[in-house]
Parts: sequence; structure tokens; C-alpha cells
Amino acid sequence: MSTQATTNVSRKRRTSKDDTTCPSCPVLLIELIYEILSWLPVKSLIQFKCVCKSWNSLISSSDFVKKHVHRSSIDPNLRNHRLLGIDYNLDHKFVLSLSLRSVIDNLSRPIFDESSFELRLGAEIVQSCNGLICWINYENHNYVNYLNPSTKFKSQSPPCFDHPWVFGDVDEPCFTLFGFGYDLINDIYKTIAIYCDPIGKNTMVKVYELGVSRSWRDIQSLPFFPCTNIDTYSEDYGKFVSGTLNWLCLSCDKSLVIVSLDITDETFEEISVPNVATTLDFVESPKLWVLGGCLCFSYDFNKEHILLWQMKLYGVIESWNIFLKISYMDIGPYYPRPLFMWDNNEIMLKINDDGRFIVYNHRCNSLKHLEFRTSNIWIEGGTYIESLVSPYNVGVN
Amino acid sequence: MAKTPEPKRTISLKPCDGDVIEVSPMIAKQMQTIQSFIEDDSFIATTTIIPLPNVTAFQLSKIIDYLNYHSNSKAVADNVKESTKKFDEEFLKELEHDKLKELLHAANYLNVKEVLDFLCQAVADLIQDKSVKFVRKFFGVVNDYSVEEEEDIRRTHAWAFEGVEED
Repeated sequence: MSTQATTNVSRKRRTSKDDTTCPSCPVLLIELIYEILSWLPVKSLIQFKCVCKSWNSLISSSDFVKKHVHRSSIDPNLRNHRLLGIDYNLDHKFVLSLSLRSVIDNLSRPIFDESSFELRLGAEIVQSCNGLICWINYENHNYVNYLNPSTKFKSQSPPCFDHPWVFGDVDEPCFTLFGFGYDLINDIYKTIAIYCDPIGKNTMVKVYELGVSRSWRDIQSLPFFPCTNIDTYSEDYGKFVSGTLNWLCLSCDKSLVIVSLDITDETFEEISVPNVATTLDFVESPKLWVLGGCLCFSYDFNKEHILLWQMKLYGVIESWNIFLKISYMDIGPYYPRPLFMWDNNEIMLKINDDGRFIVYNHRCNSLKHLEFRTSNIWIEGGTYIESLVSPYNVGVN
Repeated sequence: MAKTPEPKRTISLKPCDGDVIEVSPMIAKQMQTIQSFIEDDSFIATTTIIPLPNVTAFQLSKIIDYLNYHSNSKAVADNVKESTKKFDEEFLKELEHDKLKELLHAANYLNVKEVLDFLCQAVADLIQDKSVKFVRKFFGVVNDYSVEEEEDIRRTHAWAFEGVEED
């Protein structure tokens, strides 16, 4: 198999005059080095670009970047998973990142990244995908911004729908809903912008291919109007799962329906919510989530429970099942936000923005409270994985 | 270490040094290279001894130990996780750097994914917080950058080098 290659590589390296390498130590095959590097955090990988030229090109290669993303996203130890926090400090807004593991393990001092990223005040995080964070400016929906907090690279989209954010002047101001996801087939990160006019009940939809196109491109409009309003819209960005972006909408007969956009074909499809939930009202806060790679749907039941449904197989409505039922008696008067699932049965939910979480164990049906309070720091923006994905081009710059 | 149950249902492996080691078909199956031997028509379980010229007896028994332990402890209870962690730590403690690298090659030759992943992760843990110089030495890699070129990369990503101890 690989014996011959080992010997050759070893011999070549051993004759080198570099005195820092020990003459007798075994030299690893490049395929093994590739595997080893794929387990490292981003900071180490950036340092190790300095090791030699071939390591630099390996670490920068698009294949390696993808391998690293995949490795990080399935790592049961969650070593590259991070939670976003926002520091409302004076008149700036900082994005902070802390190890998800340290929050889960309920360390008294969760570890913040040594550095933070200044975003302008009014920044609103849309979503993260493969380590790229897509955020918008609350006051001006004209641009979408991208940031990779692990490599600190950032970029901005060309202008989208040009409309100012109007507070108070109009009863039902127009707004733009966003969605961000990865087109695996074409290896492109796409942002979808849905301009919503709540009075005319119509939408206009544009798509932007990060690092590829120079402008936004029109696609067909949404078949139904999104079930959202000015107060909740920042939570109603498109939920990315199985190569689709999903929004909750109201159909013509005012029943709830999920509108799903295939991110590759850019075509819309309707998906039914669980039967019992089609007639839910705004006050019951119907919401979509993604947990453990499955689309989930939650709502408030009789002010007693929050019910969370899971669609086990994406697109198969028969696979809707009640996944979680949490009584407000256990968590206080807050509607919890499902954040993250790991080990197939531990679900982390955010109780409120100032650092209260619960971890629900699905198998044992048990609930654990986590508290992590720091003044001025709000845990919002969800989770992300550390990656080398570039906000400039597909793959790495 | 693998035992020899009766009647003989084990696979015989011959490392490059030392005696034949018997492993259960369940363990052998996890080594892709052995598996392809077994699937060969000329293979007769009772008589065939599979020669492994690239693997030492020490490496083979380490790999078998790992597979044996992990196939018996698939449960997810916390105490099992704890003892598995302890086993993994002890497993690595006995391996100096060179032995670790040689074991990686053996696992790669035998194509046993579980051990390969575990060892790659162990090496990654080992080098994660180390300097570039340490990493070059560890992997026997020659620095082919000019001083200026290396400086340039360090400057571009200055933040990544903050707080790293050069040795």
C-alpha cells in the first residue's frame, strides 16, 4: 500500500541539511498530515501556514477548508462550536464569541475569545453558516455584511433593496427578510432578500452569490406573505436546512404554511406545518428552528407549555413529531429559543438574552438550568462553528 | 490482548517481529486491509496466516487493545464515558512522539478508521498550542520560506501569533 511512499518521503527529507529536523524521526505521509490538521482549531491552522509552503497551500485549499468545516460540524466534543454574544458597550456594539462547551459545562467563567469584533450599533445577526456570519444593519436594509469571526475577514454585499427603516411614522412599514445558506452543488454561499410590503401583501425576492456576482439578481416572489411583523422579524430569517431556506407564511385562507426555497434551483415549495397547528395565531408565537439538522416548529400552547415539533425527514410531513414539551412552571414566563442540539438528545434552549439557558435531555426527560450573567453582554446571534471559509470567495482567499 | 477461543474462529495475523497474534473476526473486520484479505477466495480462516510486514507486534497489539476496549464500551452513560477517557489517556501516555507517529502509519496501513481518527486527533491536541518551530521539528518538515516570506505571513495574520510561546 503506502509503504513505498513512506520510504521515499523519509529518504528525501532525511538528506536535508536542516539541522532542526531530527535525522531518525519518522516522517508522516502527507495524507496523514492532512487528517491531523483537519482536527485543529482555526487559530493554530493560521499559525501553521508558516510551517512551510506546502502546508500553506494545503491549509488554503478549498478541499481542506470543506473537510475542516465537516469535521468541526460533526465533532461530538464541540471543540470548534462557539456561541455569539453581543457587548452593548457605550455607543458601539461588539460581537463576542465564547466556547459553547464552556457554557454547556457551566464553567463559572466561560471563556470569551481574546478579541472581539466591532460592529456598528444596530447590527442584527441574520444567521451563520459554515463559520460565516451574515449580519445586517437594523436601520438600513440596503446592505448585507459578512464576517468570519475565526479568521477576522469581512465583506459587504452590493446594495440590495434601497429603503430606509421607518420607525413609528407608518403603521405597517416595509421591511426586508433575509436568509443565508450554502449551495453545496455549486459551492456558493447565497443570501436571499425578501422585500415585504405588509399593506399590499406582496414580496419581491433577490439573491446574491457571495464572492461571485457583482449585484443582486431577481427571482420569483414568495407564493405567500411571510408570517412576521416588525417586532419579530429579526427572528424570522430563513432557516437553513437540507439545502433549503424556510420561512413561515400565511396562505390565502390564513392558515400557516412553510415556504421553502431550494437554494440550488431557487424554486419555492410549500410544506405543511403539523395538522393541529395550521390555525395558530400570532399570539401563540409560531416559529421555525433548526435543531440537529432537522426543521423544527414551536408554539405556545394555552400559555401552559411550549411545544416543539420536529420534522424528522425534511419535506416528509408524516414525519412531524412532538419533540419537546416544556412547562412554563419549570422555566418562568419566557418563550424559550431552541439554540442547539448535540449527542442526539441534549437540547440547549435560551431562556432570555442575559444569560439564562436550559439544557433539556430528551432521553432522560430532564431539565438542567444554566446561568451565565455578565453585565452588558447579551447572548444573541446563535451558535457558529470555527472555520476557514472566506467571505470574499468560495473556499479560501 | 486477544485470546484464542475454541473452536478456532479467529484470524491469524503475523507482524514483522514476534509471534502470530489471533484476533476475533469482529476486530479484524474493522481493519480494512485485513478485511480485503479475508474476502479473498484463497483465504481459509483455519490455516491462513496474514503477514503484516509493515506492522510491529507492539503496534498491532496496541491497535487491537484499542479496538477491544472501544467495542466493549459503546454505552453512553457518564461513568462509561469517564472510564473510556481514562483508557484513552493511558493509551497515549505509553507513546513517545516517534512511537505515536509509527503507530499512525501502522493504523493507516491497516486502514482502521477508528484508531486513525483517534491518533490524528491526539497528534492535533499535542501540537495545537505549540510553536511553528516545534511543529516543523515534530513533523520533520524543512522551512522553505525566505525570512521575508515568513515575516509576511506572520504580519498578515499577526493576531493569530499573539500569546504563542516561541521555544
